[in-house]
Amino acid sequence: MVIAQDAQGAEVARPWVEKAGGRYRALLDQRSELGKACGLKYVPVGILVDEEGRLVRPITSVNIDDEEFRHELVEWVESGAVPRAWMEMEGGALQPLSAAEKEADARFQLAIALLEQDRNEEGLAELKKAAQLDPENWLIRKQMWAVESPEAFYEGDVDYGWQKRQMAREAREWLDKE
Amino acid sequence: MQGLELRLDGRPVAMETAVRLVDGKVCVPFDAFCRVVGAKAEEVSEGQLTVCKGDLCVPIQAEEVVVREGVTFVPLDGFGEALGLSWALAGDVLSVRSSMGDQIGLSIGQFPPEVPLPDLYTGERVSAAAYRGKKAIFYMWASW
Repeated sequence: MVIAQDAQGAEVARPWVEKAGGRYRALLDQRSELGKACGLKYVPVGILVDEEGRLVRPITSVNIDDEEFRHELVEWVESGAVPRAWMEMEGGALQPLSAAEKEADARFQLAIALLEQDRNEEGLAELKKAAQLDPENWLIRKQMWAVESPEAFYEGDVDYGWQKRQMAREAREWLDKE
Repeated sequence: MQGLELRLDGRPVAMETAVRLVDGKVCVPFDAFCRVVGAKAEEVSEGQLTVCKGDLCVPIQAEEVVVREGVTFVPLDGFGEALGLSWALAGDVLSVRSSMGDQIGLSIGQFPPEVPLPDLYTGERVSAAAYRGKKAIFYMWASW
């Protein structure tokens, strides 16, 4: 089951689900409610549970292109045993938010509400403030990029070259101010 | 004495020795029940039983302990509330709810946070509980 962490909602997420053509269910976490509960700061992240609903792997990044991960996945599905690699993993600890992170989160929530009302400029302004408060929060930062520069995301493939340049620009413009 | 079916946080739990109703009181097989709810049953000194969950320990009143066929039974109301449990009896089903707070988290063995979310197409709210009984992978992604 896939969960889209898109503040811009179903319209933006649906094409990707259709392109993937899977038979799994797709949900939408537009306001990052589940994201916030898991302390999410980036995607993709995997929540893997057993038949009882208990985690078999810490809630952290997943790379479905990683062959080792795919082996582990098959091992788990076929045997029911938790792969050793997952037991030895880092991650799986919810950290308390700093004051800056709390403010970033509040502004992020406000931004999402504004975007839902098509008040994109105001939403973007809040996203920018939020990103500056919590620059390591990629949910906020990439969302900001996608709203401001949709062409780097939604016209053909995601432009990673653009992202690198953008990070360098931001480093000069506002990270330096710290 | 009547054997009761046990459900914990909505899930049926098979017990080798069943929970019983003794003179109208719900009595649990002490060792097994404590394990099931994630608590530790101990005999701190001769005849003095306690049950601990994390840092919290509750002594069991000796006069409340009942032994049947070699199994020690203790009334649930002697310690249940103190351990953050609540329960209800309907027919011969005892439904127990534990304070899940310490069992919800991001690590192996814990339950992930439960947040029902809308289907991307229908808007229907779906919860992770819908996947109980199967292994499941919830993949969080974004269009950006």
